[in-house]
Amino acid sequence: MAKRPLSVLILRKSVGSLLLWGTVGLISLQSFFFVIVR
Amino acid sequence: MPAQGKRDQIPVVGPMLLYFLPLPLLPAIFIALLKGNVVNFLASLVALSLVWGGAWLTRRGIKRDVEIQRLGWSRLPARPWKLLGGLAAGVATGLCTLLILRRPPVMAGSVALATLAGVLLSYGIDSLFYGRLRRAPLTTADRDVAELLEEARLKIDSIDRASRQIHNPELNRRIRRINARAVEILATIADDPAIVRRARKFLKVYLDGAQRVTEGYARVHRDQPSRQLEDNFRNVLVTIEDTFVEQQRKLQEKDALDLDVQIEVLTRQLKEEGVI
Repeated sequence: MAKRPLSVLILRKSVGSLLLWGTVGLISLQSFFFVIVR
Repeated sequence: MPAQGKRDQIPVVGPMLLYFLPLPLLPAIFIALLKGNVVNFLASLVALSLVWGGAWLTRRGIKRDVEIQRLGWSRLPARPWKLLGGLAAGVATGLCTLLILRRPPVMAGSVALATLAGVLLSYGIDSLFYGRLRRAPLTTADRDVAELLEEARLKIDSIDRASRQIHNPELNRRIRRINARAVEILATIADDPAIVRRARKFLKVYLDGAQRVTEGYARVHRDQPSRQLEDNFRNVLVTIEDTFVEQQRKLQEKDALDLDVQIEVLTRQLKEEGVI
């Protein structure tokens, strides 16, 4: 596997983590509140 | 000493986010159950199972990559583990968006795609394109050969571990080269299991010898370092490396010349050096 600059790796992982927090994290939390409310 | 059957020696950091981010779904399952809301109950149950299942799949993908980087190959079959993990997590978030949050399908689809992208960006894309590693030895139909190769791989793993306790760059380089040769030989056998009969003694005697000498040296030199011991160890490593190169050449040539003679010579040297 070709070595990529560290900054690209950090950027890639940061964007990935942000997407996971924004989807899996937020959707799970919202689902939790929706289940309570409904 | 045969390679210990510890298959999970290499520590692997799992996809932690995928394990803890969906945790709010756990109480949601029980609350939906208590409220008697079947749709919410099933949706949250299936979604949590899918995300954790996706985490398990992704972890296998990460483990495969780590094994390939460290050992040159992996016993895990070449499958798009992380892609499958991302898809499972994506279906889960899409399902929650659609059924629990009651958003339109387009939005659910977008959320699912964003989750998939999140997994692939965070944990990387599966390394299915490592040339010969795609022909993973354990895919061989012959069970005996697969077991023999797996045992050999564990021995290489042990040599690698022992090498890390030897703080001598030159010796470390030699051991790394020996391990790389050994992996090449295993790949050759995996390509053509018919030659395993000729290579069986090599796998048993050589790799055992290399493992014992490396582990033994790592242990002794830590307690009582000695110049003489280091020279002996270097001599044995040189012999092992030369013989590995020769073995690989002969196996590739499909040359049935008596390999046993060479093995006898090495065995004698290992004995003389007090290794076995």
